[in-house]
Amino acid sequence: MQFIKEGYFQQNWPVIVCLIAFCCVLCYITVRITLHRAITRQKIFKTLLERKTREIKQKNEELEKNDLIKTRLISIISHDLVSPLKFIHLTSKNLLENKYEMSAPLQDEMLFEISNSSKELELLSTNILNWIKYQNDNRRMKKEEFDLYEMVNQIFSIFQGLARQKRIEFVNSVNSGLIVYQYMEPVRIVLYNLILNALNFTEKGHITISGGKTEKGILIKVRDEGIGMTPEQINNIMSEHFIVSSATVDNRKGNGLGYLIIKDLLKLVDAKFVIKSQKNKGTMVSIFLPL
Amino acid sequence: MQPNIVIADDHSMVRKGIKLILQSNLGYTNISEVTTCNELMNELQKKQCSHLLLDIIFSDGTALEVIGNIRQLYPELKVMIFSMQLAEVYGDAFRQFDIHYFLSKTLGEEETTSYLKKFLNNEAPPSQVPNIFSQSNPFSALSPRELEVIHYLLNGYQTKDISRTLNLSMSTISTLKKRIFEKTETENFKQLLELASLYNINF
Repeated sequence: MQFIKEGYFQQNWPVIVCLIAFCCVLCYITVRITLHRAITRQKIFKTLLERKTREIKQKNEELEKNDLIKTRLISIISHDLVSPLKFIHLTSKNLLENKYEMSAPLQDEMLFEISNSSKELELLSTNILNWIKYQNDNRRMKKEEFDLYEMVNQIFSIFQGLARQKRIEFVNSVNSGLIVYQYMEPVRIVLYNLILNALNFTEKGHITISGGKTEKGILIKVRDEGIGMTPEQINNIMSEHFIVSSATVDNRKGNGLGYLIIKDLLKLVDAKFVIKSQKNKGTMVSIFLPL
Repeated sequence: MQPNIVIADDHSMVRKGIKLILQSNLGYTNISEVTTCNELMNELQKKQCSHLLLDIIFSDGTALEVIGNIRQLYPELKVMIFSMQLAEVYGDAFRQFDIHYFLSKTLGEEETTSYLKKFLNNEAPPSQVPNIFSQSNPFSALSPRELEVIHYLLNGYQTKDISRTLNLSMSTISTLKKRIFEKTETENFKQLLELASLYNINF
């Protein structure tokens, strides 16, 4: 028995050694592969984690910015909406009660003010709504076909009364019947705000909108003949940190909400914009909307 | 003699409303209106004014920035603060300039009218009712200078811009900023902004 056993081992030892060696190599390879897989997986996890962290960070920054804007809006609502409304009520009540003792010019002065202020409040409220509407990320946006010339006319008509008072003439230089394929609502809101800004900072002259198709998209220009902006003011608007009230130039009113909305919306639709201005000569804002 | 009244407020609707009360309810007719601090200083220089109704926040700064000058140049001028801002926050600051009339824009018409009447008849200012809220408002502790700075701070101005606007050195502004954060027990801009909005500090 012992001889056979020994003989078996002696006879077969190369096979056994081979077998063991093979096992070792197999083990080694398996370990290597598992290890390699683990490392790759880890790498993938790491990049994934990094990407997620970046996303969260970005979201956080956005939320923080939205928070700032929200508090800013609260301030605008209480300062620029509530008190004028209160005084519209107070003044009109007074007019009703004392109209027989009041001189006609005084009555006119008051009515004129009420009419102007309520229009301004309407515009401001619309704008606040505009901003809130686009704060929902899940909102799906679709491009659609619309007539840019008609759109400009329609926005002009909202401001016609204000323009007439200031002896400002609106000029629509867009080719009539120009059909574009774009995000309609955002474009409308941006133009609305640009015209409102132009109106606020222009005393008399023209406000011109021109626009047309280029190879890569649509270029729209809004030009006014107002007081203009300094390079510093333009930088401020273009800066990432721009939040507020820098529109208060040379004692004219403005709460900076307009450019905030313009920037937000243009970013949403991947558009670019450039401001060119000359002090007391006017300002031109060009927007480029890619195809 | 009819008092010469100036209304300084950045909202034209507010000015007209007050003008109407003064003119039709109280019978005062010498009223002029100004929109900004700048216009106010010009108007005071141009005309002999007796009474000033002064808002706090203007598009070109706060009333705190000009009130020192006004006090020095026109010591006879009677001043009344008329604002949406809280008396418990700004009242003390203006009392330091010897201004004791503080009318809130949130009051009703009757109260507003009777308050205006007292002011224009040069009656003694109504005694301040100690306000239980004033102790709990974290902004009450701020000095006039700090209130000036906080206005620009909340508006997103950087230290450099504030120092240029208020004509103070950068280090002064930094110190004032630090003290604002200490007094309001906030750690950063965001917290300060939230607190301000919670306590109805407009900017």
